[in-house]
Amino acid sequence: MPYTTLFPGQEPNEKIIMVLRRHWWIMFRLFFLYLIIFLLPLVLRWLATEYTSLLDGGTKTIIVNLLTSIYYIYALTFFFRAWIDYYLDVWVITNERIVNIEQRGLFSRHISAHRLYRIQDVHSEVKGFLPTFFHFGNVHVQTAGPNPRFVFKQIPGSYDVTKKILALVRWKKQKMMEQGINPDDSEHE
Amino acid sequence: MLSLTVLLVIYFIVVLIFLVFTVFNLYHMWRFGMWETTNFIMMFIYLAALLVLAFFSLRYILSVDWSLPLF
Repeated sequence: MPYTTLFPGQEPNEKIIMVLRRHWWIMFRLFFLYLIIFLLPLVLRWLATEYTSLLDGGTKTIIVNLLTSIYYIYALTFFFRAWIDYYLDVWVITNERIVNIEQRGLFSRHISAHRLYRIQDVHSEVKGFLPTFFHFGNVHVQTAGPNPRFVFKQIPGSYDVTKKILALVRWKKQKMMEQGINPDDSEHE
Repeated sequence: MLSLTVLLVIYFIVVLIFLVFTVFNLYHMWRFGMWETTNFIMMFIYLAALLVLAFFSLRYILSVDWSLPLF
């Protein structure tokens, strides 16, 4: 059955603050690449018709046509695969934790989470002309724990996300201290 | 003497491998993509494009006399 929550293990009173995916430019770039991939056989076909005898009939033509069919079927499948990689890589910020969901190829899906109070440092990194122009970049989240670093990759508005996470961490730690819980106590869950 | 059927068999083997990929792709979208409109639109586009490809491929395959010799 499909998951009815955004990520497995979502707690009943856990409020989702932000759901982040890579910037649309990343997908647009892929669309453009696959557009070229889809148009390439049409150009080659035209060239073959004009300048060679490959498509004049016979076994060679049959082979070329079957190869074209296979080419398109696989191009379409790889395009869909790329879409899945884009769409299923999600970073979720809730009022309790941050969750990193990554689709790694066909058979591997990696989900990890860090409690907000464990976060020690957050910083963003925008590198290059297009990321600066389109306002997207990486957000690095440093935590105390066995997997100390999270990277939100190529997300839109990385500066704002950084500020939002820092504000949430402050709010969470403040709330815990008001309840008499020490946020630095790593055993607390 | 080998007939053109050899090409057809190879073609179908390659298509079979592709079908396995397709099943996994659709499974991922169905299981993890949840009930989101974008997800359904992409699945629809993918399946529609595949049907169009299958239609033209099949139409071509049916138009060829596969009993003719390969060379």
